[in-house]
Amino acid sequence: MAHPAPGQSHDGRFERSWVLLEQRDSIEGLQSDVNDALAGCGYGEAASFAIRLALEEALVNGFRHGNKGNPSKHVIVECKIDPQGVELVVIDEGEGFDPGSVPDPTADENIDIPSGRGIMLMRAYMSSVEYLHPGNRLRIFYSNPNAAS
Amino acid sequence: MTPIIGSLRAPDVTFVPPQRMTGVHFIYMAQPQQSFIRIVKDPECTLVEFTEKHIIDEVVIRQIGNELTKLVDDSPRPRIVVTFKGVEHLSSAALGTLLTVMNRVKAKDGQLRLCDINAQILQIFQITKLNKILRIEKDLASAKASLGGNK
Repeated sequence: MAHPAPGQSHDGRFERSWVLLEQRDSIEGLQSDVNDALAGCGYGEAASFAIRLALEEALVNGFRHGNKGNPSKHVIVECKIDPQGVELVVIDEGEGFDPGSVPDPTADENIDIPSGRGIMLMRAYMSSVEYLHPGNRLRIFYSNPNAAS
Repeated sequence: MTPIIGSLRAPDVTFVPPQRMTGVHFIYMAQPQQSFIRIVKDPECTLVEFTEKHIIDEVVIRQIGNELTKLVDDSPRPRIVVTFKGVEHLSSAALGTLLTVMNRVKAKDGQLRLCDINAQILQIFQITKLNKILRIEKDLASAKASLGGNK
């Protein structure tokens, strides 16, 4: 039997937080830990793909738009996994923003603009995506489609 | 056998984060950059393959964008097929780079095809509706067959 990942209990639950600088090794380490925890909690490949994608987009937005690429600023990630779903909270050190101000990237006038699809992808793959005031705190939730109701 | 004409390597600079330094704030070091695509010259087109299965790191995506841009700029009328064989993850930044390349190819009256995209990655193109403006073919053979005009 595989040993549980750090932060993982033996009853299919996981809870851990990270404080990251924008360094690829740290981000890959986080992704790897979350992926291992998902597998350990019984989540399959579709969940793993969706959560990796959403987490990557959230981190990129936090570092690039929230922290404005400042290499000394951090992003905090909190992750809770249980049989009902996966909750991720991503907090940057920026001033926040109004998510309603992001134009629809699928509109005809925006379709060939290279940026602006990260939030849309998170919304497509996650059950809920909320930016908490003032907009530098993102909460995303993936509901386990196999959870007992 | 079609020859691999190699990877394009732009002379580039790497930013060294301040926390690794003492006494100065910024240092830029010139060093050769790793390539993340393979370019294969084919009689019908230029074939681009990715060497990474995860195209999510911004540094990797920027380098891929630079190499694809050079490929387009170096051709009078580019005919490029990008195969996604082996690619397992893609971020929105990678989509943005593909759109930028598409716009440059269109500006030169060229053609760009994407192929061998797995179901999960294809769903990303469909969600973002980019499958409507990027020409996606099932495999390399159909991508080549779809190229029209002069070679």
